[in-house]
Amino acid sequence: MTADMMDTEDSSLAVIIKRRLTPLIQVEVEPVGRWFHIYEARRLRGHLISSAGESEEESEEEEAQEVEVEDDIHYLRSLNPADWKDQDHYAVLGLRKHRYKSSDEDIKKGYRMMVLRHHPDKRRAAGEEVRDDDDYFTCITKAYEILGDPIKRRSWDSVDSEFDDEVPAVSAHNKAGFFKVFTGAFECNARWSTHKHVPGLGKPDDPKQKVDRFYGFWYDFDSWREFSYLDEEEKEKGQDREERRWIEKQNKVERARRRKDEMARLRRLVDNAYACDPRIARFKEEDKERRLSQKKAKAEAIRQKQEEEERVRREAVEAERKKREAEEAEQRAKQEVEKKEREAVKKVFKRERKMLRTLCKDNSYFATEEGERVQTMTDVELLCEALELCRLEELNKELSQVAQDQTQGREVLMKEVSEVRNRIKRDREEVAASATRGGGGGGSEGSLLKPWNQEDLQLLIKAVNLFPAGTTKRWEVVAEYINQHTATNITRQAKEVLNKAKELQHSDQHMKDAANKNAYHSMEKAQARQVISDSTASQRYD
Amino acid sequence: MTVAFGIYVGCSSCCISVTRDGKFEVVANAAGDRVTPAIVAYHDAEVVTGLAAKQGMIRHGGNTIQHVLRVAGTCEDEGQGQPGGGSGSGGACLPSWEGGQARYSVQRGDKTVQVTADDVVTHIFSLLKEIATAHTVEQELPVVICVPAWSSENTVAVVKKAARKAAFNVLATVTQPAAAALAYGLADDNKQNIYTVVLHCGGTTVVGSVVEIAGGLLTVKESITSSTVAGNSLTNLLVQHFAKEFYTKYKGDPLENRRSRRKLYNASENCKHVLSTMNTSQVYVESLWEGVDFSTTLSRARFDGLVAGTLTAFLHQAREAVQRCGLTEAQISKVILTGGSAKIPRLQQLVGDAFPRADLLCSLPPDEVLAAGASTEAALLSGQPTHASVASSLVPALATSVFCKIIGSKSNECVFSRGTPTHSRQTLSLALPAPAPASCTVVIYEAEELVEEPPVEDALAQVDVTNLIPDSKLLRLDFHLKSDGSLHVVLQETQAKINRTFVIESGRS
Repeated sequence: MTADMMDTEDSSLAVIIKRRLTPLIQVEVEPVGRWFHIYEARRLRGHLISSAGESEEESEEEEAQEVEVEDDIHYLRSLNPADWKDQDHYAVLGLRKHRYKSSDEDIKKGYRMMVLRHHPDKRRAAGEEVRDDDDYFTCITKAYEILGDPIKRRSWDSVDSEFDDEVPAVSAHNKAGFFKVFTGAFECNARWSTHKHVPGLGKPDDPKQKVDRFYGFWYDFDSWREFSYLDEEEKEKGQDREERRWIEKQNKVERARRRKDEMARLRRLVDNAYACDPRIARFKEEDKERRLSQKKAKAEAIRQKQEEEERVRREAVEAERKKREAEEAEQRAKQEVEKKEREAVKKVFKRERKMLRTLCKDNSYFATEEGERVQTMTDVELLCEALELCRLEELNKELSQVAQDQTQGREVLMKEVSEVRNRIKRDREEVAASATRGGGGGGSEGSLLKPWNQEDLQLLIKAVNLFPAGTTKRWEVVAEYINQHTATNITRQAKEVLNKAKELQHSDQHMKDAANKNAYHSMEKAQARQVISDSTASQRYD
Repeated sequence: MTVAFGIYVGCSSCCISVTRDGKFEVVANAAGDRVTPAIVAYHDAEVVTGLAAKQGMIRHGGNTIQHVLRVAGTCEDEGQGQPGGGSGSGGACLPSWEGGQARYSVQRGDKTVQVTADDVVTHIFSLLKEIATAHTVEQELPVVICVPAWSSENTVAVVKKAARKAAFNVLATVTQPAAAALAYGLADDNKQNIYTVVLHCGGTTVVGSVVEIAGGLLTVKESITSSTVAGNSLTNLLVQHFAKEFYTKYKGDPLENRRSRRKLYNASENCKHVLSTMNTSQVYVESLWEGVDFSTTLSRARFDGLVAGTLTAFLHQAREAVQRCGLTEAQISKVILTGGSAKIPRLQQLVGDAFPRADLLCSLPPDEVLAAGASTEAALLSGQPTHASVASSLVPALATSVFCKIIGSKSNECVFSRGTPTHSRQTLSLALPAPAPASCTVVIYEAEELVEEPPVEDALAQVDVTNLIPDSKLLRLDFHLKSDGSLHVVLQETQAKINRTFVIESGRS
């Protein structure tokens, strides 16, 4: 596409565009195969075309920044080859401005240039007078010797006099212009780092994480700076082994001391920065506030919890009290009602009794004789006491119906009295029966089934006395004795006998008395029978 | 040169291949087999995979899981519609669905343990990992996995996860037809536009696919899967045959119990494999039924006779796929056979007859083709900076092929075929007629196919070249299809110092 071709274009070619291309279609393809990947890569590159352009420009710029080697002939002439150790190697090779930033290429270039210009042969050819023994060209070779070797260059860089070892102090001024002062300090110290990508000081509004990373890095700063270049004497100069060893030892001590100083210096730098950093102060403040607010929130939470608990407790107590009150009221009302009922019943009773009495009194107790009347009066009292309410009412009704007829009224009254008496008697009997049953309740079933009559009890007492405690199988023997001598044909077991004996022994005085009384009655009966027999006829019993 | 692995995982078998220095080779497993059965057996104390699990099926049928890929990543209703493996499964463990995940319950010692399908797939990949690490010393194992064409997205996700668990670095997954085409390098040529049929005859499925390759890009036009007949049906036919033979000899039915059925099944499968390469196969089963040994021979001719009917059914899917694409058999220029069953010579012959004008590609062992294709892809990918696996693969492409012709000469060439993606470049050198005339006309036209006399309405541009000198021999044309759909053409002739650039604009859609 050169320019000379352009002019032939029109004459030799005639292009006629007939029509446009058919519109593109979308084809679904499998994402495989060489051509697909090429296509994909191209498409991706198309997206990145703008950024790619930028990077190209940048690289061009870098290239344009060609290192300029300056040739300072006056400086070179002033050099003394004997003092090569104190010369500025960068200045010798014409890299005074670039110093540690110059690349190996630059150094090589500078050296070549210096050699081309200042080689003794060259200068001689140019008619300059050159002394062989102390020419400054030696300084150039020495400078390249140092800078051309990475290790030696490092030791020279470490002690480069151009480097500012100063550390900004902690002061109000430095605090105010923190970023201005310290950014430069950190930037120039960053060159000692063995790691690449040294974090910068950053900006005033950096997040905590970034600031922490910055200080973390600088507190663990790993420096490659070393001070072998400043060694007092060279090891090789020693006369013998001992001396060499001694020199080495001295150097080592010195190097360690310097390194320690260097570490302390860096430390001081970071410490000072930390002390001056407004961000750190801000973080501390924020931290404090946060902790305070957390504490507050915690206290608040506790207080709320306590209040809540208190409230719940109070509510529970209140509910309990209400419940109790309600119960009590209910109880009272119930009692009231009962009392009223009782009183009403009592009243009715009273009225009925009074009615009965007046009825009887009015009819002069349905009696004619005085004695009878007294008897009836007591009977009426009895009725009043013993009759139930309904029965009393009925009686009153009947009596009032038959009030005119004396005899009939008496009959009704007497009937009632006898009924009541019967009932009382029955009750008493029942009570007595239950009492005897209660007395026998302690005994075994056998004793219930086989009642003890008087004779048998007598027999038992007799037998117990006959066979005192200590007799072998005492209660069997006792039982056998009773069985042999009893009039009833009840056979008793040893256990029954034992139980009955115990019962007799333990039962109260009343029971004993009752037993004695019974015994006495039976004796009397026997005598009475004798009396009767005496009165009828005498008989011989023999 | 980095190594890159390709893995094919199917229902019944898996295969791993490695590409090194641009050449792929299949990695053999510890037993020396290049294809490993994808079977996992849970024994009392250990998990057995591969060939050992397959052989152990005679005894541990209930604890052996096969065809796991069928159910992995499926939910119940879709999983049940698929066959568990028919009678060939030999009473293997069948899956159940719980919480949308396929599970197997296996007896380990006294306990019944639930195993998810994902776990089983992971075991298969661990086995493949062992094979791979035995082959290479490298820590990084970049791998491309080929999954069956019918796999759902879920299945692919399960497979990927399992592979990652086994410490493979999964670069991508490719589909079956794509892997097959890659293995034969069909996608390397971006000038041609061809239709390819890929017929996969696996153990449980037969898949027929039609792939269009245009401008080096693959498009799967159609893919039909069938599991009614497959490799296992052939084995079952053999089993029936042998059982009959055994019955006539010993009056005993070896199919009546599971153990002897499984023994006979294994022997039949072996016989089938042998007959793919040999003319006769010796079948010997020790103590097949009631302590009676069984020994017979089967010739390939007999075998072909037995399975002839079934083999024709294999072709059905391929034919249907071709028909659905609206193509005829004559338009197919390549047929690729993949899968173990495709090794049968009779089947290869049948396919060759069905597509008479196509090249039958079966120079690679069909059961290793897919792994090989995957590893080819892996090599392509591993050399590149990792770009995220492309989900959308829609590409703007030419709707019609573009050709270039010099009128009055035989020079008539395809510039871009239909489906060529944008960003494509093409350089053509068209020969001028032997004694170079003073002027000639170049026509750039759109057409479906190469035509001798392009109709006027198809022409895109016409270039009249004058000032040609007798030394002129070649016209050099550089074409560049830009992303906006326009075609930039540079026409040069060095002798006569002709140089001209012009643009054919894209039509509005």
